[in-house]
Amino acid sequence: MPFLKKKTENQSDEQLMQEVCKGKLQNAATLFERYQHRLYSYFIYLSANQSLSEDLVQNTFYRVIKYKHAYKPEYEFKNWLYTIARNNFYNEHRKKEYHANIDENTDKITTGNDGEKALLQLQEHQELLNALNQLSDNEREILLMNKMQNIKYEDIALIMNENINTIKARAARALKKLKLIYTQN
Amino acid sequence: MNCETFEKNIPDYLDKSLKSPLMQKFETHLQNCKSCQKELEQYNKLNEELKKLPTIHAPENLKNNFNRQLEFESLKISRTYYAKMIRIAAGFALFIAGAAFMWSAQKWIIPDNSEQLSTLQNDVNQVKTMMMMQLIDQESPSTRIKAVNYAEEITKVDPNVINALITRLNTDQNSNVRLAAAYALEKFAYDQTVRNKLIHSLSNQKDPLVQIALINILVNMQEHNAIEELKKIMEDENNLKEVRQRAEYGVGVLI
Repeated sequence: MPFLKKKTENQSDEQLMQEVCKGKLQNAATLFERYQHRLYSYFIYLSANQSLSEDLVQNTFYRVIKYKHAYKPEYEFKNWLYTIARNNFYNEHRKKEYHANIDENTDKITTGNDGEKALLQLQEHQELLNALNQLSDNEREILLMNKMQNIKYEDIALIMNENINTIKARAARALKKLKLIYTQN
Repeated sequence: MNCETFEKNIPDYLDKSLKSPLMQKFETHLQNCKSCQKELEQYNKLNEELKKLPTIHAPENLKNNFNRQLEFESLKISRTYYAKMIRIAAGFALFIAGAAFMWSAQKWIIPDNSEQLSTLQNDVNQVKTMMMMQLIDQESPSTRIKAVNYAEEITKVDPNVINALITRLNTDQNSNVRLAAAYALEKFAYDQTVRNKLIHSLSNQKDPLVQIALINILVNMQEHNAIEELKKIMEDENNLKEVRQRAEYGVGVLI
């Protein structure tokens, strides 16, 4: 039914999610398609671990369905999704070591249609990625969300449940630290 | 503005959120201080490079796995719905039978209720068994799933029912039917023969969801005979990581 499919494509994230809450689980597939690459990238840059990132994307969306009753219509879906995503990351894997050398893991990062292209692009940014990996998870996270994923500080503040000025200050410190590491090399 | 303050304001400047009069002071210092010019340039380069980090595409199978999971969740919801429908139907049937009994009992000395009730329960079981056996071979997977769900409502272990469920578990082409059969068999897992059949089924399963379901059932029933099979699964690299982890967990619990 092509016209029905078009309808889903035109609906906002929030509209789709509200329907999920009413039982139309199928909408979650559309939301998944909309966010899978962004989330996957976020986890990859955060953890430098491909299989972990795959698990985390799946777990995050699984929780979207499982905890759909916790979604309120006034929430911006993206912020809610990222809240779940980073909780997932920190809760399940806080104890493990992720600061692996990006060299080891760029070999493993071959994915989807742009497999080879992605690999080449990552190698281009290797120095930056190595420097990023020397930041703490939280510092790296803020820079990734704001610079790479284009998420506004107001939204990051909501996602991390912090005051916006705190977030901005952390971002500035993270950027400075990154620059120091980067220019030292 | 001195150089230290200048550097502090660089991030806001790059975000284009620096406001006057701070903005003017910033730009003035920038024009006059060569080292700060260099500093800003370095920050800017870094900022731009961060923005240019590529989006990495998630592998195809992620979407497919999620869609399967969605199907499974939808199935769980409709299973509950069917179960409710059957409960209502069975309750109604029992009510009718009970009313008929009460009417006929007026003519004789009222016999012991419990025996009559258990006969009625047997009748209901028989009806359900009959329905189940009839539907379980049907072409449509959703009909087969309905049949499997009937089985869950049957209170007594009937070898025909068990065998029909095992057949579905091992040979049904539709993975949702296989999964529904696994969960239906869980209700009968207190029986040792059923557990033995589950272990045997596990050794031939390739479907990860079914593998995990069977592992969970056997571990919950503390089935020590399953340990051998779980160890094999742990070590078989063809199995999905989650399955191997589940098996490993199971071994840990059972030993």
